[in-house]
Amino acid sequence: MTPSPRDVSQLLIEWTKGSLAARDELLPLVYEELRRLAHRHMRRERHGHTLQTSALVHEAFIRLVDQKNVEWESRSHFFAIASEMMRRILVDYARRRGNLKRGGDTQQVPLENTLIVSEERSAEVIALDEALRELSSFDPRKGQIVELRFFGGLSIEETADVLGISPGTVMRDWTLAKAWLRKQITGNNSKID
Amino acid sequence: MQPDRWQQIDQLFHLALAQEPNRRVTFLEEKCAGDKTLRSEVEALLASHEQAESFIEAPASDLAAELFGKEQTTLRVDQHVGSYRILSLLGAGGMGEVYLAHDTNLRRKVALKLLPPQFTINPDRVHRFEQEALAVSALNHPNIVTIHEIGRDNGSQFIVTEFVEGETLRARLLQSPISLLTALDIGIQVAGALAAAHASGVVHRDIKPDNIMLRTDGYVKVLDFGLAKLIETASIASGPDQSTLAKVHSHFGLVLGTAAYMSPEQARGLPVDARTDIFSLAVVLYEMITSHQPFNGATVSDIVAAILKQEPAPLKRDSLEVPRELEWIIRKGLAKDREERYQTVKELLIDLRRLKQELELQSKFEGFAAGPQNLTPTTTRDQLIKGFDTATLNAPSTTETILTGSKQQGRKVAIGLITIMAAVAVIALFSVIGFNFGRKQAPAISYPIPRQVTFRRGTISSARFAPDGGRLIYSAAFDGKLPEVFTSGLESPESRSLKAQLGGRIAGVQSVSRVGEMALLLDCELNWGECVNGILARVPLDGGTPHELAEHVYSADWSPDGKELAIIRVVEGVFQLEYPINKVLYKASGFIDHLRVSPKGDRVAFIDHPILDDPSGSIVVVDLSGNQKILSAGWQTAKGLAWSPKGDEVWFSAGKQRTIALHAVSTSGQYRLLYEAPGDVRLFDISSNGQVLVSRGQPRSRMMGSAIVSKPEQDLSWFDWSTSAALSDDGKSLLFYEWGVATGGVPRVYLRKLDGPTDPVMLGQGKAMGLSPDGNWALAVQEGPPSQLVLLPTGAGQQAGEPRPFPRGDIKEYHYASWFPDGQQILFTGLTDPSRGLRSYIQDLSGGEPRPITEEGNIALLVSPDGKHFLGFTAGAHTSGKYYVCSIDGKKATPIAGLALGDTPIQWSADSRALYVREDEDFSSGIYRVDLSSGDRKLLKEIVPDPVGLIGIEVKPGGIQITPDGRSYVYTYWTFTPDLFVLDGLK
Repeated sequence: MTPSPRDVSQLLIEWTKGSLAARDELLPLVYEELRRLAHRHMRRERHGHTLQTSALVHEAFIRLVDQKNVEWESRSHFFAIASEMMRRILVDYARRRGNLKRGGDTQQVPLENTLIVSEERSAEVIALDEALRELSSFDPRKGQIVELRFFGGLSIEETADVLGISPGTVMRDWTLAKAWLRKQITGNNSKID
Repeated sequence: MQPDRWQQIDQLFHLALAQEPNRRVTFLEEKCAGDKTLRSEVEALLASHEQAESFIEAPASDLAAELFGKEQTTLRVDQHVGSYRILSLLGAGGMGEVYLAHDTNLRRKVALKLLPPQFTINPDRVHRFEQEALAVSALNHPNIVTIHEIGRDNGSQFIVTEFVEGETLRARLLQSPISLLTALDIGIQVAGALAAAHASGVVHRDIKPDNIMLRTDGYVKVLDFGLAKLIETASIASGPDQSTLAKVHSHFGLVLGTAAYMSPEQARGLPVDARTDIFSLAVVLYEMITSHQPFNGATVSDIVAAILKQEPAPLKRDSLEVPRELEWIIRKGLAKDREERYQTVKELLIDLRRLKQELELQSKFEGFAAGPQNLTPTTTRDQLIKGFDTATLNAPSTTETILTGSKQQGRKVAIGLITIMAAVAVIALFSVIGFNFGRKQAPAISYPIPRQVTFRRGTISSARFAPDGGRLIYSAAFDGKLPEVFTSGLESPESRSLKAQLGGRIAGVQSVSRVGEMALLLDCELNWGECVNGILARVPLDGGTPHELAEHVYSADWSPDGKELAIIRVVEGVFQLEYPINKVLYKASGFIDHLRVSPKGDRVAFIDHPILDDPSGSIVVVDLSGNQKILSAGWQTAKGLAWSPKGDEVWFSAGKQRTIALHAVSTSGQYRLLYEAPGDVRLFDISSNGQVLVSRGQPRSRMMGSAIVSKPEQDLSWFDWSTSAALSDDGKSLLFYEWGVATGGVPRVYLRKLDGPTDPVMLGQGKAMGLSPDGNWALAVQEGPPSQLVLLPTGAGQQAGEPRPFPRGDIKEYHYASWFPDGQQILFTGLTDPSRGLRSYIQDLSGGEPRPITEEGNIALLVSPDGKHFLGFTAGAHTSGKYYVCSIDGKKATPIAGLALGDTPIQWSADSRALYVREDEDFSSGIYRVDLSSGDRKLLKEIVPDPVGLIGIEVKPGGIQITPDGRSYVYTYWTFTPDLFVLDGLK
């Protein structure tokens, strides 16, 4: 069932006010929308009308949210929410993927290595999430920069704009945050790149 | 981490980064002054930084799209797919998800594989895959997984195979080392499967441990024959360099694991043959024996480089040497030059078998010698032999192996095979002789004789023979009138209209029963001249009023006895096939049409178009329990279908290029071309005595306009498919392009001067976009990929000669282009990457890279005459999108007041204060002037093309053009005026 934009807007407002229940209710909706978009994206390819992959989440979001009904405090607020949403979705996805592999009594016959790759990627998403949480605990700004840059897909300039700091600072923080996260996650063999 | 400590690290890290790399160690030594933890922390970060270059640089949404894109429409437990009920998920990967399912008809367990849509959008490829897969499955080889069905449900392609209880070789390899004999046995069984497939002309192309199933009883089953064909891309074939290949592979997520089994010729992108499978099998053998792959690397490119250049390390097993013969066999299989490899898999098979027997014999002796405490090898061997016997037909029994010497044994096998090969050769020879003999006996090729039966001008939506075969019933829109139903004799051009009998309603004939009752669609819509979406009614042929049966019907056909109807109708937005009415046999993902019941009434054939509004599709039959089979796929346009009188073939009209011809496909999938003629030949019916009813005609795209003020509208068309692109502001020049049969499908740009009697002048290749304000240049897009924006000199000014391409930058596809009023800049829309959105750019005529002017997803279409604004468009995700007016710097966008839903802006007014918009009806369009400040709209001109044979008006930009002064206009419309023919003697 397609959720009405109103529901989503309401949930978003509740989430921004701190309701975790609202967030948990929201996730599957956005997730479903993402899947639908990704699926449709493939069908459209044939016509040459391609969907903007990198804007997938924003589009999913915009489609779900009747923006008139949500008083976004600012642009930065929107991006922060969208980035966090993306992070949640990916981590949620990765966890489910992991459970699928372990759970149940179904026999696993991985036909392709891609399954393994997906699982590796899923594990990396979870590892990144955990490392990012740790980074944010002692350097919240760097954590936020990574969230906006990686999960939100914002450029250095856009990130600087959203956070109200200089692009130079973003660049500097980003460089160290990346090095630290990479070191933290894998030591040496990450594939999230 | 303590905040102050972290701050310290932060500072040192950046200071060290600022140093020359070779200075960093000394620098840190100085700065850390004995604080070893600090120093190692920063050093570790620097090392990590060195490798973190691309780490998390690509936004997570790419990853999300990749992951979700891969995720198929996951089926639920208990969900039905065709006649299968899903029981559980067995596995998932880049080539789809595999489910354990219950076959509700045959009450057995099956494996159902759902293919991801990206591999099945090319119907041609799907068709080739099906042919190969089914051909191999039909061999009934014990080591080849049997395919039960390849079908489509709800838009997804699925493959149903026997359910193999066991594990993949990949899973087995991950557990523990495989014994030498087991490895040989697996190799032998795989080689047996390949030998059989190669003999029937099919190469697997993707032999790897994941495609080899080990059944619990020792049988080995090879999976996915032909599937590799689905994922091959043009770039593999054309791009011999490694980077292309790596890209292709990573694009499909077929990464390291798959690359490791590629043959050098595959890695080079060369055509592959049976010897590719030999190489891959040798890689698998190597891996089974040594527990590692012969060609390693951290990335696909590294692996590819190893495959192309490196000799694999000597075979070692737990650091022991393996039998020299085995080393020799595998090396021969891994020869980089395929001429030096085993030439046939049979040779490899023979060598593997011989070796295995020798080893078995040895272990038997050793077993006896070692006494009862050494039981394990014997047990393993027994299991092995069990599998071996069942799999290899010519293998001697175990006792024989023990009793005879190994050398002799090898020879015996070889002799056995030579005998078989000789027998095969003799059979082949006989069949060649038999074939030639048969050819001599065959009657001379017959030429069908066409007889024209209608002569009036208009579109013909459908036609049928009356049951007696002497009369025709057809629906046609002649002379610009609405469609009517006519009857006529076969020998006379005279016809009788049933208009009065049908109360003057628009009607299309669908079927005439053997007892002379018509099935008609009333009040239908016209789609390219065809009557669709109407009320189904039955009407006696010899008079009587219609008896209405159902609404929203697209196609209908009587059962052979004339008692039941099969129909296609839309229910809740989904096309479904019902036979009899209310019993649903098929639901479509896109749309379906042209259904016909077989002469025995046991099957229904129809055309399945997977994409709405796209005429491409496949010929499908469905039986009365809803089991479907695709008979022929990959048609760009498919219209019209009928059963051959015997019911053994479906004949249909379809085309892969511009024109449509007649084809036949047997119910077992044998295809042949039946009849071709200039223009489109569309099939309507086949009579019981084999006469074929077709229409033939040439669809055309025509241009009309009143370009010079005060002159009446005139025909401006040139060849068969003229499409208007731009009209000069003074209305004196028309830029257009031709892209029909005349130009062989490659578009060509023409300029037509309207103020004189001269013929159009060809300017070059491409689709025309715009004419420069001074009239000296035409802007055109030449088809790619990648497409190219070019300037074509019109010859009007000083310029002449070659097309002038623009620097492309990152742009891969061009979509719309127009001129700035000063003639110094060009506005165009492009795409840099298929995964991104369209956006618009400005291109300076003087050169330089294009500069983006809009965000992705927004398009700038036309610059106002004062140069201050552009007309913009935002692609809507689920709406048709929105037009707006934007300041030229892209900063201020204003919605257009007075723009109605369905309006399409086509031009600015000369004063930049208003837009001209078109509002389209089915067979006419209105041009309105919409004032931007007041929102007032005023009708300027009604476009009403000649209704005879009219099937639509061009909707692309340029399809309707008006000059900024609102005085001259031109439009493009499509016509089709075929005639009906009866073909005698078509077989």
